[in-house]
Amino acid sequence: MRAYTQQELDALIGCPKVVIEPPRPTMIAESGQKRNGLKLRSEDGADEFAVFIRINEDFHENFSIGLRHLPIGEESAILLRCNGDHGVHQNQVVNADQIDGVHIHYTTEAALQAGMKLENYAEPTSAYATYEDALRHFLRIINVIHPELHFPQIYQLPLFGEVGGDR
Amino acid sequence: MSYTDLLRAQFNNQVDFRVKRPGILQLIAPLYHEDGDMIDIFLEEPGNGGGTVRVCDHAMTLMRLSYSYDVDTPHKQKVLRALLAENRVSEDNGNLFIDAPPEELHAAVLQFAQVVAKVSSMGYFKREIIRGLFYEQLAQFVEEELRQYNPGKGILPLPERDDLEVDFQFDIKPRPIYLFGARDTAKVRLATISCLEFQRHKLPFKSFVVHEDFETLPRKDQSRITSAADKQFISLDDFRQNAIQVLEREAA
Repeated sequence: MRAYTQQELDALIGCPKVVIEPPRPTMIAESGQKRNGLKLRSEDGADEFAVFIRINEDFHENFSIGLRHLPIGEESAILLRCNGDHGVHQNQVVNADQIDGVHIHYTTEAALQAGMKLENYAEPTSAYATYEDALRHFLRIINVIHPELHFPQIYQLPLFGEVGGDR
Repeated sequence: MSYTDLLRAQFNNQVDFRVKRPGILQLIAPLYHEDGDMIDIFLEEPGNGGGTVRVCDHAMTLMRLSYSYDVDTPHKQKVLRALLAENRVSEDNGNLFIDAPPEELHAAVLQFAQVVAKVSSMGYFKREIIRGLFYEQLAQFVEEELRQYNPGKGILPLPERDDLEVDFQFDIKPRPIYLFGARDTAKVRLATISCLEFQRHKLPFKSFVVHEDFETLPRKDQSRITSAADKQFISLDDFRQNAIQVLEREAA
């Protein structure tokens, strides 16, 4: 496993990325989950990434959208995962917070140095509640260029404004 | 006493329950995955009048496993089926489950959590981790099976070029054999450069390359190493099967 520094991890998450293998138009159902994925390359061409998207078929609030770094000739590493509300998460590095609800897992240098599961640390978020919101948020924080070209269904404006909105 | 009260008592009040869907409870217990997420355990009464409670995961274990590892070949599926069968856990469209009478629920939950951990650890079988063993396996084979050829390890044929290292040297007359293990394109390119440099310095040697998987190399890398090396083995298995015979011919 590469010895990432926190600075490298943050840079890999935030660098602009272009889609080199688009997602399937529709998710496929398999073994109780719906799944999709795509491949990305950093705009400078230096790094490649895989995105995995999973939604549990029985509980649609149990989803995970993750970014995996694919260094050439080295073991790949999940950099972050946007999780739905599957239950409780217990941090074991950085802090000992217990999170109940949607949260984002981040790979940290601290977890790497402790030899723990990389994305052990998680933070609660109010950035999303549904899978669609989570996917939009995920594509924004990992800096995918023109995500609307590949996920038009989550970028279409509602005809009569936001559901539950004021107008 | 309800099965939830019974289970709570069995766990000394260290567990709780959350209604996930009508008739489906999520067990809140201090049982965690390596990433800190609580293990997904659900409890439901099958409604078949059998008096049992189903302990299950609603396919969450295989979903989590798929973040880094897919059970997508007959061999992987066979391993998974054996693991579940040996631990008396059933599977239906990804849903892992055990049916247990309420009085045995405590043991069933602990057993189920163990199986979830075992299935989750299948991620350690992934190719990129197993591939990390390539050089160790090559070294083990050379040191155990090819001892009669006096293998030397980490040889520098050009002492002033410590960047051009040969993994193993076999002292075979009239020319020694330099052997390179090559797991990826970076190592293939280094082996190519090393062979060409040794040739340029007119060193007497023959070069062997053992690939982790020759077929997956880019075409240009295949061409370059084929031009530079004297003999290649397309995989570690190929080397294991043929190394002794080839070295015997070289030594004859």
